[in-house]
Amino acid sequence: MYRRSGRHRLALAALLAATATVVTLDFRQGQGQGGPLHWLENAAVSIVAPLQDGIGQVFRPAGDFVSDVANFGSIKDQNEQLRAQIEQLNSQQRRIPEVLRENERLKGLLGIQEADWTQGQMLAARVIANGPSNYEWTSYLNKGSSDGIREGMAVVSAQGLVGRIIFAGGDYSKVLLAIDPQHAVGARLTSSSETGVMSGRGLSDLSFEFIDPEVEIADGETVVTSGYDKGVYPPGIPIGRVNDVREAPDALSQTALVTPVVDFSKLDTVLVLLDSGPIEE
Amino acid sequence: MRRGALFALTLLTAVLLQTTVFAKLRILDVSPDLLLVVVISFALLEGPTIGSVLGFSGGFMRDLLLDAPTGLTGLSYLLVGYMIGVARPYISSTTIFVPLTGIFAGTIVATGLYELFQALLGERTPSLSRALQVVLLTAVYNALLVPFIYPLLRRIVNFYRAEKVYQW
Repeated sequence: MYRRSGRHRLALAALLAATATVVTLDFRQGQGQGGPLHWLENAAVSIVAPLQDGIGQVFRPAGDFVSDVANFGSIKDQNEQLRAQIEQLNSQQRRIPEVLRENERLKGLLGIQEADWTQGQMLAARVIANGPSNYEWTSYLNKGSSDGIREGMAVVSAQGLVGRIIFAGGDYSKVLLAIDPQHAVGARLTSSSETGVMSGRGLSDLSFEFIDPEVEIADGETVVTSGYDKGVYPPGIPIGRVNDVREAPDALSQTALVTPVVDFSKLDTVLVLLDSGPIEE
Repeated sequence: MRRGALFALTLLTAVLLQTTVFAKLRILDVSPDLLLVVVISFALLEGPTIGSVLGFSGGFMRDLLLDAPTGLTGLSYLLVGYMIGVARPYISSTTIFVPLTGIFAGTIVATGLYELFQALLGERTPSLSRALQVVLLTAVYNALLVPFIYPLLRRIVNFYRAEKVYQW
């Protein structure tokens, strides 16, 4: 009995020493690309991702169904909101051709040549899996550095901003979703052009902070990327719509809660903006 | 050797199912942790050494897929695998309540430890309410998985135990 418990303790001590080595290596390695752990991470993703791809395709319909059943209440509310939104958008759509013409005319008069993110190079990729943690919101894509993807590039869907690439392996990459609390992006209100910082809050609405307290924010107003993030995100990508406005306790700024335009629980095909990403100095 | 391969395969399957199926089952913004259910189940069935080795390996595998410091999940899972394995001989009951309680309590400890380690390293520190939400809901969801996962793992372990040759 004593010999046995001694063996257990020896195994525990060896594993604790191994953990200490791993944690130390991770800290010494930092955020850089080199190091044995980065190599291991790359290898793990290369092994796991093709299997995730296969399993994901088999289980996706069942998973979507269970997820829909589990979120039935919120889906019903969302449905009502979307119906109201469709009505509103239909009426707005009728004005678009006229607004576009006027916009072109004014741009021509002022000699403005604005960069349009939809005109850049894009790469379509499929979401094959999600991060395994309850503390981070990440997804894996079936395209990687061999397809031209590199860390920091913006990822969008047909609706708007999805996130940015945080890991680019050979044939697979990882996206930090815009709803992750670690994700922050410079954002702009479309009507007043007032800017602030948009941060993720998990599946709750996004938090749009540091807005001038004097600015009036309308419910349902669209928020887009400001494009001031040293070039990480191009300007004008839709992020969400204002749902609620709260004044910060210090009253020096106000905060708006923004419902994302992208449904993050049903991400399937996304576009990686190959011309985006941090400008290398 | 074959048992080792089987344990590794079970852990890999758990990681794959966690990232493809269970990550989608976010109810109240929390999903169950299948990998932890597997680690604690093996600790209950096989004792502290297997519990801690599988906790470390499974946690390390999970760490490599996370955007967080590597080693923290490995550390919390190995400690829980060891603790559950050490406690097991002192419980005489063989009913389903043993794995149910073990996995519920083990999940609380492992998830709590992970949050503590993250806070100590100054990494992602969720609000207290969010931290409690994750700890408690993960424990409840994991306990709900016990009737499906534990008997399956026990069958696998027993199958290989029967093949073992004892030397007197």
